[in-house]
Amino acid sequence: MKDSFNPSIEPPKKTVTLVSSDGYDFEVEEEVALESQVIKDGFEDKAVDDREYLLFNVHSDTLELIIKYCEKHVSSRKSISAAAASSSSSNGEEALKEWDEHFISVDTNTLYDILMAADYLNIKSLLDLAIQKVADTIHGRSPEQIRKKFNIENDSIIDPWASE
Amino acid sequence: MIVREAIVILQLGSEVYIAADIVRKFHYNFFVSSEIINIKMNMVAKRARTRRWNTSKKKRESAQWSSLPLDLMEKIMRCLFYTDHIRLRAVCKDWCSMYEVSPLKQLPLLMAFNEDSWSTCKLFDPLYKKTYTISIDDTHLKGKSFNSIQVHACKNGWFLLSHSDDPTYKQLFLFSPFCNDRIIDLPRLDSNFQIATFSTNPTDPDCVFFVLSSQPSSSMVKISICRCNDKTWIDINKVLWCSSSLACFVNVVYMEGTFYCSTTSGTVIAYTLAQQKLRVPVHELLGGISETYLVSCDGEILLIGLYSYNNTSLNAPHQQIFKLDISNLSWTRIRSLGDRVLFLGGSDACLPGKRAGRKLEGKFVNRIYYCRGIITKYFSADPSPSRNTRSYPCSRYYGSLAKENCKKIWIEAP
Repeated sequence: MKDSFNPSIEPPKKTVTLVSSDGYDFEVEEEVALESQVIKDGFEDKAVDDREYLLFNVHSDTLELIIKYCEKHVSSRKSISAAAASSSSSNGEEALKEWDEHFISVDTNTLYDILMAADYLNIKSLLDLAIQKVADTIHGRSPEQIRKKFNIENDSIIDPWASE
Repeated sequence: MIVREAIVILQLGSEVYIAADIVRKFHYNFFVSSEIINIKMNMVAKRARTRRWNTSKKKRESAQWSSLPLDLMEKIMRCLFYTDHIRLRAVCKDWCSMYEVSPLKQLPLLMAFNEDSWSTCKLFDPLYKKTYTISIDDTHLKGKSFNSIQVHACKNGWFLLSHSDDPTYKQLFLFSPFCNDRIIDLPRLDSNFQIATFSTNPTDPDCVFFVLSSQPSSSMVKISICRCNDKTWIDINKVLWCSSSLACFVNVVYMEGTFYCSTTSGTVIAYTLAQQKLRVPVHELLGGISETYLVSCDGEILLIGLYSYNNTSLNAPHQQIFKLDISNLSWTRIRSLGDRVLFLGGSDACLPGKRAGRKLEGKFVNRIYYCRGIITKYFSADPSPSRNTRSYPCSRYYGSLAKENCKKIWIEAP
Protein backbone atom coordinates (compact mmCIF):
# COMPACT_ATOMS: atom_id res chain seq x y z
CA MET A 1 0.00 0.00 0.00
CA LYS A 2 1.46 3.33 -1.00
CA ASP A 3 0.74 6.47 0.90
CA SER A 4 -1.09 9.11 -1.05
CA PHE A 5 1.15 11.76 0.44
CA ASN A 6 4.56 11.10 -0.99
CA PRO A 7 6.97 13.95 -1.68
CA SER A 8 9.38 12.85 -4.37
CA ILE A 9 12.70 13.58 -2.69
CA GLU A 10 12.97 11.59 0.47
CA PRO A 11 15.56 9.18 1.80
CA PRO A 12 14.59 5.51 1.75
CA LYS A 13 12.30 4.78 4.65
CA LYS A 14 13.68 2.90 7.62
CA THR A 15 11.83 -0.22 8.51
CA VAL A 16 11.09 -2.38 11.53
CA THR A 17 10.14 -6.04 11.53
CA LEU A 18 7.21 -7.22 13.59
CA VAL A 19 6.79 -10.95 14.11
CA SER A 20 3.37 -12.35 14.98
CA SER A 21 2.68 -15.09 17.52
CA ASP A 22 2.24 -17.63 14.74
CA GLY A 23 5.55 -16.76 13.17
CA TYR A 24 4.84 -14.34 10.36
CA ASP A 25 7.09 -11.40 9.59
CA PHE A 26 5.66 -7.99 8.90
CA GLU A 27 8.03 -5.35 7.71
CA VAL A 28 6.67 -1.91 8.38
CA GLU A 29 7.96 1.64 8.21
CA GLU A 30 9.55 2.88 11.36
CA GLU A 31 7.00 5.64 11.96
CA VAL A 32 4.17 3.15 11.62
CA ALA A 33 5.67 0.87 14.26
CA LEU A 34 6.25 3.89 16.51
CA GLU A 35 2.48 4.34 16.84
CA SER A 36 2.92 1.71 19.53
CA GLN A 37 4.12 3.36 22.73
CA VAL A 38 5.73 0.10 23.80
CA ILE A 39 7.89 -0.01 20.69
CA LYS A 40 8.61 3.71 20.99
CA ASP A 41 9.89 3.34 24.55
CA GLY A 42 13.47 2.32 24.27
CA PHE A 43 13.43 2.39 20.49
CA GLU A 44 16.40 4.74 20.30
CA ASP A 45 18.52 2.44 22.44
CA LYS A 46 18.22 -0.38 20.00
CA ALA A 47 20.76 -0.78 17.23
CA VAL A 48 19.45 0.28 13.83
CA ASP A 49 19.96 -3.12 12.22
CA ASP A 50 18.34 -4.84 15.16
CA ARG A 51 14.87 -3.37 15.09
CA GLU A 52 12.84 -6.49 15.28
CA TYR A 53 10.00 -7.22 17.66
CA LEU A 54 8.50 -10.58 18.48
CA LEU A 55 4.90 -10.08 19.46
CA PHE A 56 3.99 -13.28 21.18
CA ASN A 57 0.50 -12.13 22.05
CA VAL A 58 -0.56 -10.93 18.62
CA HIS A 59 -1.78 -13.31 15.96
CA SER A 60 -0.92 -12.52 12.33
CA ASP A 61 -4.57 -11.87 11.43
CA THR A 62 -4.79 -9.25 14.19
CA LEU A 63 -1.36 -7.81 13.49
CA GLU A 64 -2.37 -7.19 9.91
CA LEU A 65 -5.34 -5.16 11.09
CA ILE A 66 -3.25 -3.25 13.62
CA ILE A 67 -0.68 -2.33 10.97
CA LYS A 68 -3.45 -1.23 8.63
CA TYR A 69 -4.78 1.04 11.37
CA CYS A 70 -1.38 2.54 12.20
CA GLU A 71 -0.51 3.14 8.54
CA LYS A 72 -3.80 4.89 7.98
CA HIS A 73 -3.29 7.12 11.00
CA VAL A 74 0.29 8.02 10.08
CA SER A 75 -0.68 8.96 6.53
CA SER A 76 -3.82 10.84 7.62
CA ARG A 77 -1.86 12.87 10.14
CA LYS A 78 0.54 13.89 7.40
CA SER A 79 -2.16 14.95 5.00
CA ILE A 80 -4.04 16.82 7.75
CA SER A 81 -0.96 18.80 8.77
CA ALA A 82 -0.07 19.39 5.10
CA ALA A 83 -3.56 20.78 4.52
CA ALA A 84 -3.22 22.95 7.62
CA ALA A 85 0.19 24.26 6.43
CA SER A 86 -1.20 25.30 3.06
CA SER A 87 -4.27 26.61 4.89
CA SER A 88 -6.51 24.76 2.49
CA SER A 89 -9.66 23.40 3.97
CA SER A 90 -9.63 19.74 4.82
CA ASN A 91 -12.16 17.32 6.13
CA GLY A 92 -9.33 14.94 6.98
CA GLU A 93 -10.26 14.51 10.63
CA GLU A 94 -13.87 13.88 9.81
CA ALA A 95 -12.88 11.34 7.17
CA LEU A 96 -10.50 9.61 9.55
CA LYS A 97 -13.24 9.35 12.16
CA GLU A 98 -15.46 7.71 9.58
CA TRP A 99 -12.65 5.38 8.59
CA ASP A 100 -12.12 4.44 12.27
CA GLU A 101 -15.83 3.76 12.66
CA HIS A 102 -15.75 1.42 9.69
CA PHE A 103 -12.50 -0.19 10.83
CA ILE A 104 -13.85 -1.12 14.26
CA SER A 105 -17.15 -2.49 12.96
CA VAL A 106 -16.09 -6.10 13.36
CA ASP A 107 -17.44 -9.20 15.09
CA THR A 108 -16.86 -9.46 18.83
CA ASN A 109 -14.07 -12.05 18.48
CA THR A 110 -12.06 -9.74 16.23
CA LEU A 111 -12.89 -6.82 18.49
CA TYR A 112 -11.47 -8.79 21.42
CA ASP A 113 -8.24 -9.45 19.53
CA ILE A 114 -7.88 -5.80 18.53
CA LEU A 115 -8.61 -4.67 22.09
CA MET A 116 -6.02 -7.00 23.60
CA ALA A 117 -3.42 -6.15 20.96
CA ALA A 118 -3.98 -2.39 21.31
CA ASP A 119 -3.53 -2.76 25.06
CA TYR A 120 -0.45 -4.98 24.67
CA LEU A 121 1.18 -2.64 22.16
CA ASN A 122 -0.12 0.44 23.99
CA ILE A 123 -1.62 2.22 20.98
CA LYS A 124 -3.77 4.73 22.82
CA SER A 125 -6.07 5.93 20.04
CA LEU A 126 -6.82 2.38 18.93
CA LEU A 127 -7.38 1.25 22.52
CA ASP A 128 -9.84 4.11 23.07
CA LEU A 129 -11.62 3.23 19.84
CA ALA A 130 -11.96 -0.43 20.82
CA ILE A 131 -13.06 0.39 24.39
CA GLN A 132 -15.75 2.76 23.07
CA LYS A 133 -16.93 0.08 20.66
CA VAL A 134 -17.27 -2.48 23.46
CA ALA A 135 -19.13 0.08 25.60
CA ASP A 136 -21.47 0.93 22.71
CA THR A 137 -22.16 -2.77 22.23
CA ILE A 138 -23.06 -3.20 25.92
CA HIS A 139 -25.08 0.02 26.26
CA GLY A 140 -28.81 -0.52 26.34
CA ARG A 141 -28.66 -4.31 26.19
CA SER A 142 -30.09 -6.70 28.77
CA PRO A 143 -27.73 -9.17 30.53
CA GLU A 144 -29.04 -11.99 28.32
CA GLN A 145 -28.44 -9.96 25.16
CA ILE A 146 -24.93 -9.06 26.35
CA ARG A 147 -24.14 -12.74 27.00
CA LYS A 148 -25.32 -13.70 23.55
CA LYS A 149 -23.43 -10.89 21.85
CA PHE A 150 -20.14 -11.64 23.61
CA ASN A 151 -20.61 -15.40 23.82
CA ILE A 152 -20.40 -15.49 27.61
CA GLU A 153 -21.64 -18.44 29.61
CA ASN A 154 -24.33 -17.66 32.17
CA ASP A 155 -22.81 -18.43 35.56
CA SER A 156 -24.37 -15.40 37.21
CA ILE A 157 -25.77 -15.75 40.68
CA ILE A 158 -27.78 -12.54 40.76
CA ASP A 159 -31.20 -12.07 39.31
CA PRO A 160 -30.77 -9.14 36.93
CA TRP A 161 -34.19 -7.68 37.60
CA ALA A 162 -34.06 -8.03 41.36
CA SER A 163 -31.05 -5.75 41.42
CA GLU A 164 -32.70 -2.95 39.50
CA MET B 1 -5.19 -13.18 37.15
CA ILE B 2 -4.68 -15.86 34.59
CA VAL B 3 -1.14 -16.93 34.02
CA ARG B 4 -0.43 -18.59 30.79
CA GLU B 5 2.98 -19.99 30.25
CA ALA B 6 4.14 -21.70 27.16
CA ILE B 7 7.53 -22.53 25.86
CA VAL B 8 7.85 -22.11 22.16
CA ILE B 9 10.68 -23.97 20.63
CA LEU B 10 11.66 -22.74 17.25
CA GLN B 11 13.75 -24.60 14.86
CA LEU B 12 15.26 -22.90 11.88
CA GLY B 13 17.86 -24.82 9.96
CA SER B 14 20.28 -26.17 12.52
CA GLU B 15 19.70 -23.54 15.18
CA VAL B 16 17.25 -23.95 18.04
CA TYR B 17 15.61 -20.98 19.76
CA ILE B 18 13.58 -20.81 22.90
CA ALA B 19 11.19 -18.19 24.08
CA ALA B 20 8.52 -17.94 26.69
CA ASP B 21 5.04 -16.58 26.32
CA ILE B 22 3.99 -15.20 29.63
CA VAL B 23 1.06 -13.50 31.20
CA ARG B 24 -0.15 -10.42 29.38
CA LYS B 25 -0.27 -8.43 32.57
CA PHE B 26 3.48 -8.14 32.52
CA HIS B 27 3.59 -7.64 28.83
CA TYR B 28 5.30 -4.29 28.96
CA ASN B 29 8.42 -6.04 30.06
CA PHE B 30 7.98 -8.74 27.57
CA PHE B 31 9.22 -7.69 24.26
CA VAL B 32 11.66 -10.37 23.29
CA SER B 33 14.21 -8.71 21.14
CA SER B 34 16.24 -10.42 18.57
CA GLU B 35 19.22 -10.14 20.88
CA ILE B 36 17.70 -12.74 23.14
CA ILE B 37 16.79 -15.29 20.62
CA ASN B 38 19.15 -14.29 17.91
CA ILE B 39 17.27 -15.05 14.78
CA LYS B 40 19.01 -14.20 11.59
CA MET B 41 16.64 -13.67 8.74
CA ASN B 42 16.80 -11.88 5.50
CA MET B 43 14.55 -8.88 5.17
CA VAL B 44 11.39 -9.66 3.32
CA ALA B 45 9.24 -7.43 1.21
CA LYS B 46 6.78 -5.25 3.07
CA ARG B 47 3.68 -7.03 4.21
CA ALA B 48 4.63 -10.22 2.40
CA ARG B 49 3.87 -12.92 4.84
CA THR B 50 6.84 -15.06 5.57
CA ARG B 51 6.31 -17.96 7.86
CA ARG B 52 9.19 -17.94 10.27
CA TRP B 53 8.30 -21.05 12.13
CA ASN B 54 5.62 -23.64 12.42
CA THR B 55 4.01 -23.80 15.77
CA SER B 56 1.06 -25.47 17.31
CA LYS B 57 -0.43 -22.01 17.91
CA LYS B 58 -1.89 -21.79 14.43
CA LYS B 59 -5.36 -21.14 15.68
CA ARG B 60 -6.24 -18.00 17.50
CA GLU B 61 -7.53 -18.42 20.97
CA SER B 62 -11.20 -17.64 21.23
CA ALA B 63 -12.24 -14.41 22.92
CA GLN B 64 -12.54 -14.60 26.71
CA TRP B 65 -14.72 -11.59 27.43
CA SER B 66 -15.68 -12.73 30.91
CA SER B 67 -12.06 -12.74 32.07
CA LEU B 68 -11.14 -9.40 30.56
CA PRO B 69 -8.31 -7.75 32.55
CA LEU B 70 -9.57 -5.43 35.27
CA ASP B 71 -7.92 -2.30 33.87
CA LEU B 72 -9.67 -2.78 30.52
CA MET B 73 -12.95 -3.57 32.24
CA GLU B 74 -12.62 -0.33 34.22
CA LYS B 75 -12.04 1.67 31.03
CA ILE B 76 -15.15 0.12 29.44
CA MET B 77 -17.27 0.84 32.51
CA ARG B 78 -16.17 4.49 32.50
CA CYS B 79 -17.91 4.79 29.09
CA LEU B 80 -21.20 3.40 30.41
CA PHE B 81 -24.15 4.67 32.43
CA TYR B 82 -25.44 3.56 35.83
CA THR B 83 -28.09 1.19 34.47
CA ASP B 84 -25.56 -0.37 32.10
CA HIS B 85 -23.37 -1.11 35.14
CA ILE B 86 -26.18 -2.94 36.90
CA ARG B 87 -26.95 -5.01 33.82
CA LEU B 88 -23.30 -5.67 33.15
CA ARG B 89 -22.79 -7.03 36.67
CA ALA B 90 -25.65 -9.46 36.11
CA VAL B 91 -23.95 -10.99 33.06
CA CYS B 92 -21.50 -13.36 34.77
CA LYS B 93 -19.68 -14.04 38.02
CA ASP B 94 -16.44 -12.37 36.97
CA TRP B 95 -18.18 -9.16 35.97
CA CYS B 96 -20.33 -9.24 39.09
CA SER B 97 -17.24 -9.05 41.30
CA MET B 98 -15.74 -6.14 39.36
CA TYR B 99 -14.85 -3.26 41.70
CA GLU B 100 -16.88 -0.03 41.76
CA VAL B 101 -16.25 2.38 38.91
CA SER B 102 -18.09 5.70 38.63
CA PRO B 103 -20.49 5.60 35.70
CA LEU B 104 -20.91 8.32 33.07
CA LYS B 105 -23.06 11.17 34.24
CA GLN B 106 -26.49 10.87 32.68
CA LEU B 107 -29.71 12.86 32.56
CA PRO B 108 -31.29 12.88 36.01
CA LEU B 109 -34.14 10.47 36.71
CA LEU B 110 -37.58 11.83 37.56
CA MET B 111 -38.85 10.70 40.94
CA ALA B 112 -42.59 10.95 41.63
CA PHE B 113 -44.25 10.42 45.02
CA ASN B 114 -47.48 8.44 44.93
CA GLU B 115 -50.25 10.31 46.72
CA ASP B 116 -47.66 12.86 47.82
CA SER B 117 -46.25 10.51 50.43
CA TRP B 118 -42.90 8.85 51.04
CA SER B 119 -44.44 5.34 51.06
CA THR B 120 -44.02 4.49 47.42
CA CYS B 121 -42.35 6.33 44.63
CA LYS B 122 -41.73 5.86 40.95
CA LEU B 123 -38.45 6.50 39.19
CA PHE B 124 -38.29 7.17 35.49
CA ASP B 125 -34.99 6.69 33.65
CA PRO B 126 -35.04 8.79 30.44
CA LEU B 127 -32.16 6.83 28.90
CA TYR B 128 -33.93 3.51 29.06
CA LYS B 129 -37.49 4.84 29.05
CA LYS B 130 -38.17 2.61 32.00
CA THR B 131 -40.19 3.20 35.18
CA TYR B 132 -39.22 1.55 38.46
CA THR B 133 -41.57 1.40 41.43
CA ILE B 134 -39.96 1.56 44.84
CA SER B 135 -41.73 0.96 48.12
CA ILE B 136 -40.08 2.61 51.07
CA ASP B 137 -40.21 0.62 54.30
CA ASP B 138 -38.05 2.60 56.68
CA THR B 139 -39.83 4.04 59.71
CA HIS B 140 -38.25 7.47 59.12
CA LEU B 141 -40.17 7.83 55.90
CA LYS B 142 -42.95 5.32 55.61
CA GLY B 143 -46.36 6.95 55.57
CA LYS B 144 -44.89 10.45 55.92
CA SER B 145 -46.44 13.08 53.70
CA PHE B 146 -44.18 14.76 51.19
CA ASN B 147 -44.36 18.08 53.01
CA SER B 148 -43.51 16.74 56.49
CA ILE B 149 -40.05 15.76 55.26
CA GLN B 150 -37.70 18.53 54.30
CA VAL B 151 -35.34 17.90 51.40
CA HIS B 152 -32.08 19.77 52.05
CA ALA B 153 -29.91 18.29 49.35
CA CYS B 154 -30.20 15.71 46.64
CA LYS B 155 -27.13 14.49 44.81
CA ASN B 156 -25.25 11.37 43.72
CA GLY B 157 -28.52 9.48 44.10
CA TRP B 158 -28.88 10.41 47.80
CA PHE B 159 -31.28 12.67 49.66
CA LEU B 160 -30.30 14.62 52.75
CA LEU B 161 -33.57 14.89 54.65
CA SER B 162 -34.95 15.98 57.97
CA HIS B 163 -38.19 15.56 59.93
CA SER B 164 -39.92 18.66 61.00
CA ASP B 165 -42.08 16.93 63.66
CA ASP B 166 -40.28 18.51 66.59
CA PRO B 167 -39.56 22.24 66.18
CA THR B 168 -36.70 22.28 68.73
CA TYR B 169 -34.30 20.17 66.74
CA LYS B 170 -34.02 18.43 63.41
CA GLN B 171 -32.96 14.86 62.86
CA LEU B 172 -30.90 14.78 59.68
CA PHE B 173 -30.71 11.51 57.78
CA LEU B 174 -29.80 10.15 54.37
CA PHE B 175 -31.93 8.10 52.03
CA SER B 176 -31.30 6.69 48.59
CA PRO B 177 -34.01 5.08 46.44
CA PHE B 178 -31.19 3.19 44.68
CA CYS B 179 -30.23 1.30 47.85
CA ASN B 180 -33.59 1.42 49.49
CA ASP B 181 -32.85 -0.64 52.60
CA ARG B 182 -30.21 1.75 53.87
CA ILE B 183 -30.88 4.91 55.82
CA ILE B 184 -27.97 6.73 57.42
CA ASP B 185 -28.69 8.83 60.53
CA LEU B 186 -26.50 11.81 61.25
CA PRO B 187 -25.67 12.94 64.82
CA ARG B 188 -28.34 14.94 66.63
CA LEU B 189 -28.15 18.64 65.89
CA ASP B 190 -29.43 20.84 68.71
CA SER B 191 -30.19 23.95 66.76
CA ASN B 192 -32.21 24.98 63.81
CA PHE B 193 -30.54 25.69 60.49
CA GLN B 194 -31.25 27.16 57.07
CA ILE B 195 -29.22 25.07 54.68
CA ALA B 196 -27.48 21.70 54.66
CA THR B 197 -25.60 19.58 52.16
CA PHE B 198 -22.80 17.03 51.80
CA SER B 199 -19.60 16.89 49.80
CA THR B 200 -19.38 13.56 48.00
CA ASN B 201 -21.07 10.18 48.06
CA PRO B 202 -22.35 9.64 51.65
CA THR B 203 -20.96 6.09 51.70
CA ASP B 204 -17.49 7.48 51.07
CA PRO B 205 -15.62 7.80 54.43
CA ASP B 206 -14.30 11.24 53.44
CA CYS B 207 -17.77 12.65 52.91
CA VAL B 208 -18.35 15.88 54.85
CA PHE B 209 -21.80 17.03 55.98
CA PHE B 210 -22.32 20.76 56.22
CA VAL B 211 -25.00 22.78 57.97
CA LEU B 212 -25.32 26.56 58.23
CA SER B 213 -27.51 28.75 60.39
CA SER B 214 -27.43 32.52 60.60
CA GLN B 215 -28.57 34.99 63.20
CA PRO B 216 -29.35 38.32 61.56
CA SER B 217 -29.38 40.27 64.83
CA SER B 218 -25.72 39.55 65.60
CA SER B 219 -24.40 39.22 62.02
CA MET B 220 -23.31 35.77 63.07
CA VAL B 221 -23.25 32.55 61.11
CA LYS B 222 -22.81 29.14 62.66
CA ILE B 223 -21.40 26.36 60.54
CA SER B 224 -21.62 22.78 61.75
CA ILE B 225 -19.55 20.04 60.20
CA CYS B 226 -19.41 16.29 60.65
CA ARG B 227 -17.94 13.34 58.81
CA CYS B 228 -19.43 9.92 58.18
CA ASN B 229 -18.57 8.14 61.41
CA ASP B 230 -18.52 11.15 63.74
CA LYS B 231 -20.70 11.07 66.84
CA THR B 232 -21.14 14.83 67.13
CA TRP B 233 -21.08 17.98 65.03
CA ILE B 234 -18.23 20.45 65.21
CA ASP B 235 -19.49 24.04 65.42
CA ILE B 236 -17.71 27.02 63.94
CA ASN B 237 -19.05 30.50 64.74
CA LYS B 238 -18.15 33.43 62.55
CA VAL B 239 -19.15 37.06 62.77
CA LEU B 240 -19.76 38.62 59.38
CA TRP B 241 -19.31 42.30 58.71
CA CYS B 242 -21.89 42.35 55.94
CA SER B 243 -25.38 43.68 56.13
CA SER B 244 -28.35 41.97 57.67
CA SER B 245 -29.55 40.57 54.38
CA LEU B 246 -27.24 37.66 55.14
CA ALA B 247 -30.10 36.29 57.17
CA CYS B 248 -31.72 34.49 54.31
CA PHE B 249 -29.36 31.75 53.20
CA VAL B 250 -31.22 29.54 50.76
CA ASN B 251 -28.71 27.61 48.66
CA VAL B 252 -25.53 25.69 49.27
CA VAL B 253 -23.35 23.81 46.84
CA TYR B 254 -20.07 21.95 47.24
CA MET B 255 -17.21 22.17 44.78
CA GLU B 256 -13.56 21.15 45.09
CA GLY B 257 -13.14 21.39 48.87
CA THR B 258 -15.33 24.46 49.35
CA PHE B 259 -18.97 24.94 50.33
CA TYR B 260 -20.58 27.97 48.63
CA CYS B 261 -23.69 29.37 50.34
CA SER B 262 -25.92 32.02 48.82
CA THR B 263 -28.68 34.27 50.11
CA THR B 264 -31.93 35.25 48.42
CA SER B 265 -30.18 38.37 47.11
CA GLY B 266 -27.28 36.42 45.65
CA THR B 267 -24.60 37.20 48.23
CA VAL B 268 -22.17 34.32 48.45
CA ILE B 269 -19.96 33.18 51.28
CA ALA B 270 -17.45 30.39 50.79
CA TYR B 271 -16.20 27.97 53.44
CA THR B 272 -13.04 26.05 52.57
CA LEU B 273 -12.60 22.80 54.48
CA ALA B 274 -8.82 22.49 54.37
CA GLN B 275 -8.08 25.97 55.77
CA GLN B 276 -11.32 26.17 57.78
CA LYS B 277 -11.63 29.61 56.28
CA LEU B 278 -14.80 31.56 55.59
CA ARG B 279 -14.63 34.12 52.80
CA VAL B 280 -17.18 36.92 52.47
CA PRO B 281 -17.65 39.27 49.51
CA VAL B 282 -17.43 43.03 49.77
CA HIS B 283 -20.88 43.77 48.43
CA GLU B 284 -23.95 42.05 47.16
CA LEU B 285 -25.16 42.37 43.63
CA LEU B 286 -28.63 41.16 42.98
CA GLY B 287 -32.14 41.96 44.05
CA GLY B 288 -35.74 41.05 43.50
CA ILE B 289 -35.25 37.40 42.66
CA SER B 290 -38.07 35.08 43.64
CA GLU B 291 -36.27 31.78 43.19
CA THR B 292 -32.54 31.18 43.12
CA TYR B 293 -30.60 28.05 42.38
CA LEU B 294 -26.91 27.42 42.92
CA VAL B 295 -25.26 24.81 40.70
CA SER B 296 -21.69 23.60 40.30
CA CYS B 297 -20.58 22.47 36.89
CA ASP B 298 -17.12 21.54 35.61
CA GLY B 299 -15.28 23.84 37.99
CA GLU B 300 -17.78 26.71 37.72
CA ILE B 301 -20.46 27.90 40.12
CA LEU B 302 -23.61 29.18 38.46
CA LEU B 303 -26.47 31.09 40.02
CA ILE B 304 -29.81 31.01 38.28
CA GLY B 305 -32.35 33.63 39.27
CA LEU B 306 -36.01 33.37 38.26
CA TYR B 307 -37.90 36.65 38.66
CA SER B 308 -41.45 36.93 40.04
CA TYR B 309 -42.44 33.69 38.49
CA ASN B 310 -45.84 32.05 38.52
CA ASN B 311 -44.91 28.49 37.69
CA THR B 312 -48.33 27.46 36.48
CA SER B 313 -48.02 29.93 33.62
CA LEU B 314 -47.20 28.67 30.15
CA ASN B 315 -44.55 31.31 29.73
CA ALA B 316 -40.94 30.78 30.57
CA PRO B 317 -39.80 32.79 33.58
CA HIS B 318 -37.76 35.90 33.28
CA GLN B 319 -34.34 34.58 34.12
CA GLN B 320 -30.76 35.59 34.67
CA ILE B 321 -27.73 33.33 34.86
CA PHE B 322 -24.55 34.36 36.61
CA LYS B 323 -21.12 32.81 36.88
CA LEU B 324 -19.14 33.17 40.09
CA ASP B 325 -15.68 34.67 40.08
CA ILE B 326 -14.23 32.31 42.67
CA SER B 327 -11.38 34.60 43.72
CA ASN B 328 -13.48 37.58 44.80
CA LEU B 329 -16.96 35.99 45.09
CA SER B 330 -18.60 38.30 42.62
CA TRP B 331 -21.06 37.47 39.87
CA THR B 332 -20.74 37.98 36.13
CA ARG B 333 -23.85 37.64 34.04
CA ILE B 334 -23.61 35.05 31.28
CA ARG B 335 -25.74 35.03 28.17
CA SER B 336 -25.96 31.36 27.41
CA LEU B 337 -25.28 27.96 28.90
CA GLY B 338 -23.45 26.97 25.72
CA ASP B 339 -23.86 23.29 25.08
CA ARG B 340 -24.97 22.62 28.66
CA VAL B 341 -28.34 21.73 30.10
CA LEU B 342 -29.58 22.64 33.58
CA PHE B 343 -31.91 20.72 35.86
CA LEU B 344 -33.50 22.72 38.66
CA GLY B 345 -35.59 21.28 41.49
CA GLY B 346 -34.22 18.34 43.47
CA SER B 347 -30.82 17.41 42.13
CA ASP B 348 -29.90 20.84 40.84
CA ALA B 349 -27.50 19.77 38.16
CA CYS B 350 -25.81 21.22 35.16
CA LEU B 351 -24.39 18.84 32.62
CA PRO B 352 -22.98 19.00 29.15
CA GLY B 353 -25.76 18.17 26.71
CA LYS B 354 -23.56 15.83 24.76
CA ARG B 355 -22.87 13.72 27.83
CA ALA B 356 -26.50 13.38 28.75
CA GLY B 357 -27.17 10.28 26.74
CA ARG B 358 -25.68 8.98 23.57
CA LYS B 359 -28.82 8.85 21.47
CA LEU B 360 -30.10 12.18 22.78
CA GLU B 361 -26.93 14.02 21.81
CA GLY B 362 -27.43 17.64 20.82
CA LYS B 363 -31.07 17.78 21.86
CA PHE B 364 -30.27 18.94 25.37
CA VAL B 365 -28.42 22.15 24.75
CA ASN B 366 -28.85 25.54 26.43
CA ARG B 367 -32.09 24.48 28.13
CA ILE B 368 -33.40 24.59 31.66
CA TYR B 369 -35.47 21.68 32.96
CA TYR B 370 -37.56 22.81 35.88
CA CYS B 371 -39.45 20.84 38.50
CA ARG B 372 -41.35 22.27 41.44
CA GLY B 373 -44.24 20.63 43.23
CA ILE B 374 -46.24 18.80 40.60
CA ILE B 375 -45.00 21.00 37.74
CA THR B 376 -42.31 19.89 35.32
CA LYS B 377 -41.38 21.90 32.26
CA TYR B 378 -38.46 23.06 30.22
CA PHE B 379 -37.58 26.33 28.54
CA SER B 380 -34.72 27.92 26.67
CA ALA B 381 -31.88 29.48 28.66
CA ASP B 382 -31.44 32.18 26.05
CA PRO B 383 -32.00 35.57 27.74
CA SER B 384 -32.25 37.71 24.59
CA PRO B 385 -35.42 39.79 24.17
CA SER B 386 -36.33 38.04 20.94
CA ARG B 387 -36.16 34.65 22.55
CA ASN B 388 -38.85 32.09 22.57
CA THR B 389 -40.60 32.76 25.85
CA ARG B 390 -42.72 29.64 25.97
CA SER B 391 -42.17 26.71 28.23
CA TYR B 392 -42.76 23.12 27.15
CA PRO B 393 -43.83 19.90 28.87
CA CYS B 394 -41.07 17.39 29.72
CA SER B 395 -43.14 14.38 28.69
CA ARG B 396 -41.24 13.90 25.44
CA TYR B 397 -38.20 12.61 27.34
CA TYR B 398 -39.73 11.87 30.72
CA GLY B 399 -42.86 10.04 29.58
CA SER B 400 -46.27 10.22 31.15
CA LEU B 401 -44.80 10.40 34.64
CA ALA B 402 -43.91 14.04 33.95
CA LYS B 403 -47.63 14.83 33.65
CA GLU B 404 -48.88 12.89 36.68
CA ASN B 405 -50.59 14.87 39.38
CA CYS B 406 -48.15 14.21 42.23
CA LYS B 407 -45.05 15.77 43.78
CA LYS B 408 -41.92 15.26 41.69
CA ILE B 409 -38.22 15.84 41.94
CA TRP B 410 -35.11 15.33 39.76
CA ILE B 411 -32.67 12.78 41.11
CA GLU B 412 -29.24 11.94 39.78
CA ALA B 413 -28.27 8.32 39.31
CA PRO B 414 -25.53 7.35 41.80
